[in-house]
Amino acid sequence: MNAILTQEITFAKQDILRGFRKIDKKAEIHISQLIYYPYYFFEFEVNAKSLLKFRGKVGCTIDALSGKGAIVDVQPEFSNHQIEVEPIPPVVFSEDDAKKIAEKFVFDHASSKAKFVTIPKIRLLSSALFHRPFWLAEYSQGGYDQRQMIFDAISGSYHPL
Amino acid sequence: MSVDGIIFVIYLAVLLGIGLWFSRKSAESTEQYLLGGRSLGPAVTAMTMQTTAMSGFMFMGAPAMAFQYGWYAVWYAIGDAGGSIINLSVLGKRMRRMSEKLGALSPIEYLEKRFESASVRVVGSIISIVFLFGYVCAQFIAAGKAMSTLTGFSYEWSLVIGISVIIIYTVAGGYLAVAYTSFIQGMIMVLGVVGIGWLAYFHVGGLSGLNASLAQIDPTYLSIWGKGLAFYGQWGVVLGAILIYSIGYMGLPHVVVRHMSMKSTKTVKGAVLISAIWNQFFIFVPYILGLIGIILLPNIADPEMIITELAYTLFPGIFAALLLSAIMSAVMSTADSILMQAGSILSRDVYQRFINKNASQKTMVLVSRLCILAGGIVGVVVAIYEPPSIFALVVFAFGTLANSFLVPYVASVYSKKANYIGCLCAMIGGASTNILWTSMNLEGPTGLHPFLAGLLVSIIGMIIGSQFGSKPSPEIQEIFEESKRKRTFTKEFDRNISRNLAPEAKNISKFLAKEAGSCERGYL
Repeated sequence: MNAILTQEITFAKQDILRGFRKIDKKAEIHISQLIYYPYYFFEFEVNAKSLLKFRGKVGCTIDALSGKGAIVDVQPEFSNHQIEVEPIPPVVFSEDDAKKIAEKFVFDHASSKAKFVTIPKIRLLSSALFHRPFWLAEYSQGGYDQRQMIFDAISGSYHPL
Repeated sequence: MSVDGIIFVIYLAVLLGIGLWFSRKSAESTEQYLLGGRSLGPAVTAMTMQTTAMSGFMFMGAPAMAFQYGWYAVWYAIGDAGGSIINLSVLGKRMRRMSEKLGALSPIEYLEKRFESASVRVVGSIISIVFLFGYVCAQFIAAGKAMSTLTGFSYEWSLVIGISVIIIYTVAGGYLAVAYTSFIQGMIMVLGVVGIGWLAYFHVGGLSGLNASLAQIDPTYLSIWGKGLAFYGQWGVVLGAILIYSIGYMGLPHVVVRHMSMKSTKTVKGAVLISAIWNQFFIFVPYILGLIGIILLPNIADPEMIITELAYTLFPGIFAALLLSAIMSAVMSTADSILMQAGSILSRDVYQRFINKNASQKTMVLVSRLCILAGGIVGVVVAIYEPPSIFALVVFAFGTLANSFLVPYVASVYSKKANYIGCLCAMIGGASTNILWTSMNLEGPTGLHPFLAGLLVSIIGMIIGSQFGSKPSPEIQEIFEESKRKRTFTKEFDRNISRNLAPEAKNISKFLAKEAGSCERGYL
């Protein structure tokens, strides 16, 4: 058994199946298992002196396998969870590397979106390695072969493998 | 200063006040993420997206083009409106499949991964700079003209004042341009343009009345070949006009920032839909207003001021000034975004890559700001001494992009042999031909739109270049073959795929393959 930090599943198996049938009536979906995908979460305070003051929190995640960044919309809630058989892809980026990527990512994003001319100060408030649950599913339609796909168990969005 | 100038100053002060008020309000809420927050709702988010798309080109360039050529100008609008359709249905299918397999998030990243060369990104970025420069120049000219109408000063002085306001606006920080201020600006512009369009449309007797009046002035205004049949039989020019936007968009140097929902939400989808509908509507309106201008304002000195003149003709002065202030703000917002973007591309892809690999973040920001300053100064000089038409500048900018990227995109999915040398030759050859063709005005003598000339050179570059250098790797060749296979998903499924998850899907796929491999070895 492994203890991991994760998010509460929003889309259970039945929700995924029900939601998917609304989008695609012709296809058959079979959900096989959960995969816990690793991300680093970083929360920064961004402070920029301009004519108007900019001071606020910015949260971002760094994909622990590809190093890609993403800005998050709300403060996530994590909980400890014991997992038994669900697979976890191994982390490729260390926390230090991910932190550097996150700082650059937030800095670039804040500069371009909020258009600072002065250099914004970025201070790390918290960080965590968490695992986001994805449903692994088999998709089939008509006479074609089965294809695998993933469903994000938090947002319900999907992508074929 | 004229009354209109005072209205503009009050308008900016009100925007500043709103910005300040909201910045205080969001600072109070600790739960709120400033740059990734989603508390705005679909309507505000959509309007913010819409304001970003509105630029000096839309308000000044497009109507002037229609005023000059008649219905021929609508070819550009058709290409613009159909851009996303062409991207998705013609080029898109195979490219999407390959993009999923490569785990790429943006078109430029896709090319870099498909052609396995970082130089593709660097060259793409440098070409993007030409595009950005042309586009920012167009914004500057639009700013100068709008300020000239508002203040009553000469164009040159207005340009200097306009650019100064842009700089102050940029220094003031993004709050003026984000969220609620964009929403208010967007509302004024949308209501203003719809109002002008509505009044003017009925004033000329609807579409049939418009066409009848145009035919009375000069029947060739109704021709698809342009006024005076200027482009008669020149399919090369027409095709170029249609394709230029459709393809150019794929090379836009937009930095794709991923957003991750930490809770289930429908906001973004709703906003994208609202924005897409508005975009389709707004692509055609400025051109139609240009055509109406031929009838209502036949003696206008500067056709780029048609919308402004129509506003002053149809609305009370104060509303017209308010609309013009909103247009000026949109121009400022677009101009400072482009300048920031150009600065960060130059500092990241040129300075850090070639000059100082270990540059600190502070140095990078400094370099970026110096580039912005230099670009701004050159832009002002060009806008004062050699001001081309806004439309010509935007068409040139998009043409350069389209010429650089069309052939590499098509070859990436239709030619297994296409490699990075071919890609680089196609990009450089295509872009430089367009620049040469435009600057030497070769369209007239050859009957070829600069875009088509660039396209031919780009194709030749891809074919010859791909004969040299190493072949695509076996991994890329395998992905190429897989992308060719017929899709086993329904259209509905395909439409709703979350492209943001491409990197995760690629990694999970690799992980599962590895797991399956080790299981099989275990059994053996």
